[in-house]
Amino acid sequence: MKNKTLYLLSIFLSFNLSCDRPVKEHYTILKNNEFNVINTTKLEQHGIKLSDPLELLLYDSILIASNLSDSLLISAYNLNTNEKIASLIERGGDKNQLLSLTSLTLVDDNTLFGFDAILQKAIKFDLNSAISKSRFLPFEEILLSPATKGTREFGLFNDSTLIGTSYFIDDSRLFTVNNKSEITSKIGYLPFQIKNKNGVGKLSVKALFNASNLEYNKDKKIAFLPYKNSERIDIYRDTSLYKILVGEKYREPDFDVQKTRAGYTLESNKNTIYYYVNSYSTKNYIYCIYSGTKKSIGKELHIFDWQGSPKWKILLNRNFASVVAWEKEKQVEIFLADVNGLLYKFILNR
Amino acid sequence: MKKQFQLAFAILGISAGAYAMTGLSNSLSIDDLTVNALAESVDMCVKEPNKDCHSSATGNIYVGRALKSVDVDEPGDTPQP
Repeated sequence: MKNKTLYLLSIFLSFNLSCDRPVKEHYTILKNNEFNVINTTKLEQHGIKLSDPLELLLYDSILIASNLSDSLLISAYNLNTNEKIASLIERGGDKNQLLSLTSLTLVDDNTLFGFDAILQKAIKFDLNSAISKSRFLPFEEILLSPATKGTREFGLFNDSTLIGTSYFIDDSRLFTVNNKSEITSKIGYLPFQIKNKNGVGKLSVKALFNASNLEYNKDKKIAFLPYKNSERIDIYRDTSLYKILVGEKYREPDFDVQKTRAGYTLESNKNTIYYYVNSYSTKNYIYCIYSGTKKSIGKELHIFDWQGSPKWKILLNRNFASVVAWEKEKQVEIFLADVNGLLYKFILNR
Repeated sequence: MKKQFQLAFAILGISAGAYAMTGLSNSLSIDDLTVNALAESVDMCVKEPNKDCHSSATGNIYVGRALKSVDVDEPGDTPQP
């Protein structure tokens, strides 16, 4: 009897421990009066027009922008002179070519890390040398294995490990992968379940339904995940869910599930709302473009620190698609790109 | 008393198993997916910032693009003069 009881108990415990969803989520409600609200009446147009921008990176006065359609994938601009100083990386699938740079991170003063979501390839290259010689020559390449298919974006977990989100992996929020393209850990869970049973198919629509941005701070070991279609931000510290920020009218994403030739996908409906459509992070803050409308562009910029405390809410006079920032001692230079690639500048006094 | 104890554990085991199976049925095998990493065909995906589109033809995720039918409802921002 004792053995039987122990056997049943072990089965029960193993089922429960294998479930990565908590029994109950604890939310921190984001209230408007917790932000320092700044209403901009005018933004200064910077004079640079980006071509179909995809991902941006700013360091000092150099802006790096990857694009969706040019024959060369990234351009570097000097923001002091408004000059384009280099265009790099041929578009294609051959050696030293890429198709879609969805992550750009500065590893150190001179090394740029990038991730190509279509080729599923991570690269590192010497940025200053590439700009001065107008030549892209990666010194490290990691081609992901089938186990990590559908990786959306990556951050640097440490020197030899990447941390990412995926549109195909639906049994965790984040995963880490080593330089041999082996998944080394799965972290957290996707909070929203698709109620429509048609959602089960070849494509993991649950992961699409839970789409979020990813900002990772490897020094603080914090992952900041603002959701695209729900007013929710998950913050993981080390590898544990540390805080969930939600808006006062928090609700789950709303999409229609559609059958396609390749399986199932999601399509917007009249109730689909976009929230944190784009984000950027520095060592101190995370900058999120907030929509709150049916558009995937937004008129508000919400700024948080890495503990998830709301800092500033900047009300903008037009819609923007992407943001980058450079923090100086007393000021932050914020650059916002609109849907046409026009760049605007805003100075935030800290 | 012993029988009740056994029964309670059996019910707990079955319900936990059912819950776990529900979770498993929602997890999709990535082996089913066909991804042609080098394909550049975008199929029904059109450019739109901050949206991602899954091409039914290639299996690729196209970042910064949306399904065409969605694009019709959401025109972009008009540039300032």
